[in-house]
This record gives sequence, structure tokens and C-alpha cells, in this order.
Amino acid sequence: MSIFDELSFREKSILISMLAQVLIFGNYFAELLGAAAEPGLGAMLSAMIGAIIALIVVEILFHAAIAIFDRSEAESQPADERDRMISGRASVISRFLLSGGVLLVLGHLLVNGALLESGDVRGVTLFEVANLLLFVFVLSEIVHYGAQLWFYRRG
Amino acid sequence: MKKSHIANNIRRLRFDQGEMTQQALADAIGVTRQTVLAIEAGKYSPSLEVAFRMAAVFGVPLESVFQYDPPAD
Repeated sequence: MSIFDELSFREKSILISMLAQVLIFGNYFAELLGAAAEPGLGAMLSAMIGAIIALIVVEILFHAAIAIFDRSEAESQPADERDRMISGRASVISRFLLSGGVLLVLGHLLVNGALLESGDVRGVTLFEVANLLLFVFVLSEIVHYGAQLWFYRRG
Repeated sequence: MKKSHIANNIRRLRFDQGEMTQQALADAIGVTRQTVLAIEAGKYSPSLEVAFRMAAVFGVPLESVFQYDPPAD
């Protein structure tokens, strides 16, 4: 029996969502960092939309697969008080990260704006701001999933 | 979640009910089997409502299902 088999339906579902985010957005940001030059708006939008579509497709396929294999659990109870409590606790952590990340991006923009006036830096492009915010959002989602798994495993 | 200071007799009460399964108990009180498992292992303290529902399923007073076990400090 593998570790995956020991997980409940809900834990498997969370794990799949987390892995899908890590792999798909990991690939998206790796390609972005590896690009020689900043892609244009059209290329960035198609890459972002492509990543989102890939995420939706992967989630649907894998959730359908575990629902078939774990039919009895998938059809049983909806989220109960413990599931909601765990999700709530994980949300507190991920929201803290999201708020902190957004504030950091904001601070970065303000400092950059001030330095820009003195001519010391080249400035931040909208492309960078959009991707920084996307990174913070994806990271907070991954932490939300990870924290839920941690709380489920602890008890 | 820290180990709670609430002890329980759920395992014995399930046995007394003709080896009621965790899934059957979960269905009867409206939670998932994993939640029953966590409550039984003392890793999760349920809401009062779930605790009372559990006592009603077993047909015993609440104190027969859960007991407060204060920390020894």
C-alpha cells in the first residue's frame, strides 16, 4: 500500500491541487526566468491563460480519476466542521503570506518609483508587477494546500 | 492540533453497538469517517452539537462519551 493510498479522498484532492499548481506555475515561472528578453503582452497573456487552462484540465482529470477509485468516499459526506476548521486555519496562514507578499510588491514599487525619479534604476515594468503579484498569489495558494495537508496529518 | 484533554469511550461504545463501524457512526452524526477517527484518537475535539449527536446515537448521556481530563500542572 503506497502513501497515496493511505490518504483520504479529501487529502488526495488537496495534494493533486497543490502538485498541479507547483508543476504548472513552476514551469510557467521557470520559462519566464529563462527567457532571454521580456515577452510582449500578447505572449505573456497567452502563457498565463495557457497555464490556467492546463491547471483546470489537470485538476478535472485527476479529480475524476480519484473520484472513480475512491467512489465510496467521494460520494459520502460533504466538508464537515473539521474540514472547515482546517481550511480556515490554513487560510489564516496563506492570507498572511498573500498580504505580506502584496505589501512587499507595493513597497518594491514605491522604492523603485522614488529611485526612478533620481535616475538610479531603470524602473519596474507592468509585466514584472503582474508576474510578481501572480507569483505571490500562486505561492499563497500552494501554502494553503500544504497547510491543510499538514493539519490533516497532525490529526 | 494538540492532543486534547478530552478523553472518550467511543471505541467501546461502538463495540457495544454491535461493532458499529466508524463510517456508520460518521454517517449517523453527519461528519466524515476521518473526523470520527480523529475524535476517537483524541486528536480533535468536536463541537457540542456533534458531541450531543454522538451521545444520542449511542443512547447515553454526553458524560458517558466524553470526559474532561484536566492537564496535570
